[in-house]
Amino acid sequence: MALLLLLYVITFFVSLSWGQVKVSLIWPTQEELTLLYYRLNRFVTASIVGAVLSCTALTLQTVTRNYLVDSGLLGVNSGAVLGKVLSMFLKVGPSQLFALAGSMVALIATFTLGSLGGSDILRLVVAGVVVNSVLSSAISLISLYLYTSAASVLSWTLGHIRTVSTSELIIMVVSLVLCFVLVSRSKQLDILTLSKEEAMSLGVNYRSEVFFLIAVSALAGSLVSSIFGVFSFVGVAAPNMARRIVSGGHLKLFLFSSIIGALLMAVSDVIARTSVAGIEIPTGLVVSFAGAVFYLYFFWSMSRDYSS
Amino acid sequence: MIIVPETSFSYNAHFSLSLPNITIDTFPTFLIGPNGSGKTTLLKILGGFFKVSPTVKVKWQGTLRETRPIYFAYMPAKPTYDANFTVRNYLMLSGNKRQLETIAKELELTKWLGRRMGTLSSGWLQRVFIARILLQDTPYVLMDEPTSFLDPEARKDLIESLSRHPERHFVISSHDLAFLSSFGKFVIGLRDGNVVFRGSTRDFFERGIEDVFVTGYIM
Ligand SMILES: Nc1ncnc2c1ncn2[C@@H]1O[C@H](COP(=O)(O)OP(=O)(O)OP(=O)(O)O)[C@@H](O)[C@H]1O
Ligand SMILES: [Mg+2]
Repeated sequence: MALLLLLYVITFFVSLSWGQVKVSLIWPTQEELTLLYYRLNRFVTASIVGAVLSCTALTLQTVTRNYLVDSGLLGVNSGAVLGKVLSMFLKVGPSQLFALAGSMVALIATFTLGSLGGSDILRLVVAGVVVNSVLSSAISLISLYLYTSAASVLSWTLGHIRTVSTSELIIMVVSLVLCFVLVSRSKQLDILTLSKEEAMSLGVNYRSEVFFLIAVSALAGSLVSSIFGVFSFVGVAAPNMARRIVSGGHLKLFLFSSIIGALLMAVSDVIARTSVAGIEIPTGLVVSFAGAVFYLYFFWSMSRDYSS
Repeated sequence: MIIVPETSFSYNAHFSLSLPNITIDTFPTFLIGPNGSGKTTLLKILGGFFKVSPTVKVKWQGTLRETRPIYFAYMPAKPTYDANFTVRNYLMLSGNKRQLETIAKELELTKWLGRRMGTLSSGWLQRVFIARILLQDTPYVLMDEPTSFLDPEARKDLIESLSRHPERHFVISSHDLAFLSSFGKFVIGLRDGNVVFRGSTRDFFERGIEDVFVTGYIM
């Protein structure tokens, strides 16, 4: 824990001082102050995105009993991309609004499909897969006719951290609040690791609890991806690393996953900003790459003291 | 007391469980029958996990009420758990911190409390599941094949620990006849979704066993 926080603090200072130009943190000039503000904004943004993606993924992993899912599970990411692509195609904006609408439509479609003929988690997950795949083909179809902007569609599906406007900041705060809602259900999530009958006998209203948790996490995830695009990997990796470090309840898991997620994202963002002079690599790309390498190292270096 | 109405329950066209009026008033009650006879299904009906109409009634705090899962502690045949929880984390899920140490001691789990669930053998896991069930503060306890992973010695320990809780009303699904003979008081015998026997354990061994299992079943 202490180590994680230390790493996080170091990342904070590094992310402020490193960039395409070096800035002295001690006596910054007016110009440098603006730059610092910009970097701080990005640091906070990256952290929030990382934390939100980790919390939503953790929740979905518990309720679906599958450690490999993240908030994209129910189609919100492809919905957001499709919304964005549509807004580019039709040349109307603002594209964030389209993305948000897209992911909401995807979410509603998944829930509607998933509740046809009875509702259980498996149906919902299958519906998510169907919606994801239909939307992906729609995205490919449209980007085929958008020759000039195919590259920007691609870069957008990778996820970009950038400084945010006030209205975007509000959306991020909303997604953070949704995460706190998830955290407040830690006790219920703990019980949901048991079988359905055990959870019910411990007073959890199984069906409504599960659907509530899924809806809240998908919503929070979709808010993030409608602004920044799709980040793969962080959501899957952070909770699994947290599980390796701590054992036990979701309160702890939420804490550790969100710190790890924030750290991964903030570090990746620094790398994205600084590694190549003059241009910026999409943060999503760095996250997938650096994260994967780190993940591999992490799992190989930890002793195998348990299996699941 | 658990009162089952005359009713039937089916998942689909392939299986249906027909129930006569049954009053379960002697505990531990055992649900005995071959594989696929409907034991687990009946347990879930008793606990209100599956709804039937008219509803099952249970007596709680002096009054008869419609059955609800919260009156029962339920131990599934294959409980699910998070491999990453320690035994202590897992036991705490029952919401009963006060008696955790006592029950852990009873089941000789004290030295395992800090271990992760994923590192236990099936027999020890089974003890942990049983400990959690005993910790859950409900009048009734439903157990689905609790002896399936236990060696004879562990089964004896299990019977001892369950016997230490005469205030709990156990309903146990099992095809472990040795377990029945040393712990059961009342038997409901099932075969192909029908109740073919109701009576004391003694009667079961004297005349019920051949209705439940195929003739010539050797113990
Ligand atoms: N969820 C389900 N959907 C459809 N059929 C089911 C379901 N659960 C059980 N069945 C069927 O109902 C019948 C009775 O099952 P049940 O689990 O109650 O048997 P059981 O007596 O507990 O058997 P075992 O000793 O093998 O545990 C079986 O034929 C089974 O295939
Ligand atoms: Mg069964």
